[in-house]
Amino acid sequence: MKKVSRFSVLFMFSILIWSCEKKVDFDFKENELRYVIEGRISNEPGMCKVMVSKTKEIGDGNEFKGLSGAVVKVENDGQITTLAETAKGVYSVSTINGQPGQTYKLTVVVEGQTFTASSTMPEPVPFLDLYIKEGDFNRKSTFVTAKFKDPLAVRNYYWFRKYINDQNQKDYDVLDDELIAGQEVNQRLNFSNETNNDANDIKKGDQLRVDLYCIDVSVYNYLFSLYGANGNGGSTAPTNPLSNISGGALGFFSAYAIQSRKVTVP
Amino acid sequence: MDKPEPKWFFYLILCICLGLQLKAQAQGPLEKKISINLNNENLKTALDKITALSGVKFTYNEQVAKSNVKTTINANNKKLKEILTELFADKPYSFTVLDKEIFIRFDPSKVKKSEAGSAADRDSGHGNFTLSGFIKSQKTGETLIAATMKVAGSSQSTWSNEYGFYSLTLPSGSYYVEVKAVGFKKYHAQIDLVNNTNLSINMEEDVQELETVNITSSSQRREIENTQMGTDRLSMNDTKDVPVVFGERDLIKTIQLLPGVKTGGEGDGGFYVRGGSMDQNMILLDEAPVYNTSHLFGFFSTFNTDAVKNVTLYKGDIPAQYGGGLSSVLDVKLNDGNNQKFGVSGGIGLIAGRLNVEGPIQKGKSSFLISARRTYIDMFLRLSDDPDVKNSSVYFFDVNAKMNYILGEKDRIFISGYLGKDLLDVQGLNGIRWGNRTGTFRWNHIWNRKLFSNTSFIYSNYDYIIKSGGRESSLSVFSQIRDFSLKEDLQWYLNERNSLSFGFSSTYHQIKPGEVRADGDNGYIPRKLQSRYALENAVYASNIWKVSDVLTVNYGLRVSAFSIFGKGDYSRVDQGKVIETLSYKSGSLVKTYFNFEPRISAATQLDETSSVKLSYTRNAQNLHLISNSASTMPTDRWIASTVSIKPEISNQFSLGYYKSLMENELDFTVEAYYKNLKNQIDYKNGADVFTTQPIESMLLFGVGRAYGLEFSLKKKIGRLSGWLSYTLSKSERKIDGINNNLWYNSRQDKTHDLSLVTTYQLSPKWKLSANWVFSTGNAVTFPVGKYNIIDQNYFYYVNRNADRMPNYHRLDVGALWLLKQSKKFSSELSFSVYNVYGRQNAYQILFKEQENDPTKTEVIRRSVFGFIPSVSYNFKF
Repeated sequence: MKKVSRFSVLFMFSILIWSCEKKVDFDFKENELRYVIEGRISNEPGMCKVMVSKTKEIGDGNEFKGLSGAVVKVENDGQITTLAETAKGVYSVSTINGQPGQTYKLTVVVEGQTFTASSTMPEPVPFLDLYIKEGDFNRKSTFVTAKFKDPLAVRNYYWFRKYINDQNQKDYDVLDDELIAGQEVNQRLNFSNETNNDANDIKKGDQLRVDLYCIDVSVYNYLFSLYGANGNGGSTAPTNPLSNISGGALGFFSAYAIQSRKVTVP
Repeated sequence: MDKPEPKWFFYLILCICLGLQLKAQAQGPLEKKISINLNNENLKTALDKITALSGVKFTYNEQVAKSNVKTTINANNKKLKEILTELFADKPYSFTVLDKEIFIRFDPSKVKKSEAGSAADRDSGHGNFTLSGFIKSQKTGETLIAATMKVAGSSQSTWSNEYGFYSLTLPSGSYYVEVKAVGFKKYHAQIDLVNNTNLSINMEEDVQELETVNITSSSQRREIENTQMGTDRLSMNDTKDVPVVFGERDLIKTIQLLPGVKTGGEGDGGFYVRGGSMDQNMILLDEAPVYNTSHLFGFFSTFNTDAVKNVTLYKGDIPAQYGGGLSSVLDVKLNDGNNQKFGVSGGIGLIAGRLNVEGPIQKGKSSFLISARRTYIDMFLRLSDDPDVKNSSVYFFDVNAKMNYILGEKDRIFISGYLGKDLLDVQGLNGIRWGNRTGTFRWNHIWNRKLFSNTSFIYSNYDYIIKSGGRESSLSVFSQIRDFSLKEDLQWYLNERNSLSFGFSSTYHQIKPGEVRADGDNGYIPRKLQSRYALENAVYASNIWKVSDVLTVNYGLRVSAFSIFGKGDYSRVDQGKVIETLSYKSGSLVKTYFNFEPRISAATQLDETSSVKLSYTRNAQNLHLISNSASTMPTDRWIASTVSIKPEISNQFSLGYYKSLMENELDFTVEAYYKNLKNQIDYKNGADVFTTQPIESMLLFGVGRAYGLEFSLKKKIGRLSGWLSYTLSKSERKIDGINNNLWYNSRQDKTHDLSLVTTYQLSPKWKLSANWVFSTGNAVTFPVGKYNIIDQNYFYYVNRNADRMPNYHRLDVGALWLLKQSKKFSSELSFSVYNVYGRQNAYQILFKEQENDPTKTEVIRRSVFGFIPSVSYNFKF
């Protein structure tokens, strides 16, 4: 349902065609640094990765600046695995093969502080098709339809990540099954060029990819509330997302089942 | 970023105010000195002789002229005041100044003391009688609201009520009454009150005065004496001269220029009164509540000014007859329609066209009015080559219709209705439409000269539907709030010292929070969120008690009972967790909230031109608008109080000083207020607006406080008129679960807020206007850091609303050119320029990756409404 409410916001901005944007100087405040943890375990073989970093000043670069020296452990069913630092701030291990239904516990000890989180990997649902309906293509804003089957028996939460020619889009969608329980769903997903550069328009032959993540409720809540931290100060009062990590770190830890489909713009 | 603390503003205003205080008083007629010798002369002869010597004229009735009272005086270079005092010392007459003349009246209170009074002078008898009737416009038959009636030589005064009715009880005698109303010539008459008198007053329109513009219809006299505080009354001429964006006259945009009223941001169609939130304003259109006042996401307001008669904004002590709004009541009254002659008026502006038709159904007895407005931007969209644009629609319209009928001397009925709709639609697939519908049936009845009643049946409906989807499938959400009410208001002009208002109201609310409708193969299951039903009852009584000539006290009590009914499930929530959920059957009582809302205010007149007032008011509110956006969105959700959502309560204290300067040319007002707010509501972080979970679990509760100082200086008369208002204020909230449970600024908190509104009559054909506004930026939350997550950049926030948008300021100018004016036809061209010096005021501050170098973050200021010139043409025949 997030989609619907965002639509009206989109409309509002499209009215403001006479609006004017200008880069301004800004005095950034001193920032008390916080730890940021992003942990993922998927049903793909050997996919277990945890990234540890700190918040940065707004004037800093946007590239990931990892934090070395953390002790990162994942526990499942009493079995503890320590992750090795494979790049600066990136900790991974290929010996864990995530299994749906299993609960994973993450422990990160960094600079004397301990953070913990846990996440249960949901069963993957049938991701049946990805297609573009007639009339849904537009250079600036194209809709693709993802067809999948929601299982009735359990509560399901979905995260759709979008890629244009394998380039990750910042905009993503999340969905819970409150209104689609047990249904075969044709979910419309929007790909759009939100930059002012026509070169980023969607063209014929472009490959549009959707990764469908089945996530647990804590991760759904995190991603749902992450919209509030995207820097668009205008609409909602900006807030930090609801993390499932205890100990005061930003970020999330997710055990998820992932499936991917592609469609080429006709 | 600009520094938001220009203290010099405050000092500047203080200086202006003090400077004006120093203005000297002009010499009155009583101060003239003459020498005179009278020996046993008739009263009339005596007065004529004084006039010949002093040049001061007298006004009196036949009773005085024919009086056989003899007068004797011997005065040498004495003030007229002393001479007249001596002259009437033992006579049944008194004198009063009326502008430059002196009014002589028979004064029965002196009869007993007087030995000299003849039988003829005494035959008017004793006892009190009532003067009552309606005050109307002679030309259109429209009743006039808040026209003031003043009795010369006494402290007695009154004003017409919302239906033009007045009633005044006085001891028998001869009086000189003056009636004033904005845009009308002063009416005066001599009344010999020897029995109860019905006097219908027809005021003559003052064309000259209309053009020199009056800011309020309430004369200074009234502001000084009345206990009512924190009230602003606007006539439609006020909005006419204020230059606005796209040349569309806008009521709410004019209200935003008043002291103590703030906007949420550029183009915001809502307003915030004394630190309260937007939904804490009860907005009434002919008594029907209007739940969404914005068109086009707030860039325009729902009120078509062509149809509006009068607007009153109660910011401080809200009269007991109104309930349901914590910070203010905006009472909008529509015109009744011309009952004298048929007329058409209208206009064409840059974005909208307007047409207003009115006329008598039976001349002098009944009339109708239909007023409509529609935008026509969408007509231009059709011309576009882009099929997406071509097949899209964007428009809004308003229709006001009203009719009234006089059933006899004692009864009058009114039927009025409003319909407004906004539509935004892309290719018929995605879109949103919203609108209000209201209807009011009213019956005025005069029980006797002292007792007036009005009975209203009111209907109000607000709904919206959002649609999204493709050709084969779509998804929509429908939401609605609907009210039916019965309201009875009585005004009892008990005696010289007391006038009572009492009555009751009963409203049935039905709220549909959301209905999901799905078509096609998208797989969505249609779902309805549970409707909420409530009955809101209230009784009230209040009395205006004239304790003495200089002290008036107004006290009252409103008792409200908000009863929630099934069918539905109600959850008890603690700290966002549902503790228990109970199901209620249809019609069964869930809970009743009783609220006692006392209020008291007092006004003391310090002298002829100044007064001090203070007041305390308590208000309760049971319908709450839950908004997670900073601007007015049609999808903001109305919810009623439930088991876990308690009624919002406010207590407000205010103190004011009112001064009339330069022979009533200038009104100066200072008001200070403090209020506390209980049971304030906000969304939880990450709340889902459309969830089927109990809404209570998405909310957080807390308290608020607001205080401030408002200055206003109004110039009502003369070629140059307008007002200057300045507000220094603070508004804060403390909500459990937000900002570490510490106090934080509410978004609408703007420390300084200044508006200067001016109009200048250049020539009979040209009128110029300009307004300048300055305010501290809204309190907002800027990020203090950033981090990478899911391969993207996100921002980190610490304190809620601890930052400021840049200072806002803007100059608008306008010119009105009267093309033609005759009895049959008049037309004018109105030019305006919004934001003359093109200030790029920040609408939003965005933080995002640089487009050409995504590794860097840039800060973007988005502005809307730069320099916008516009022109509109208005006609009337």
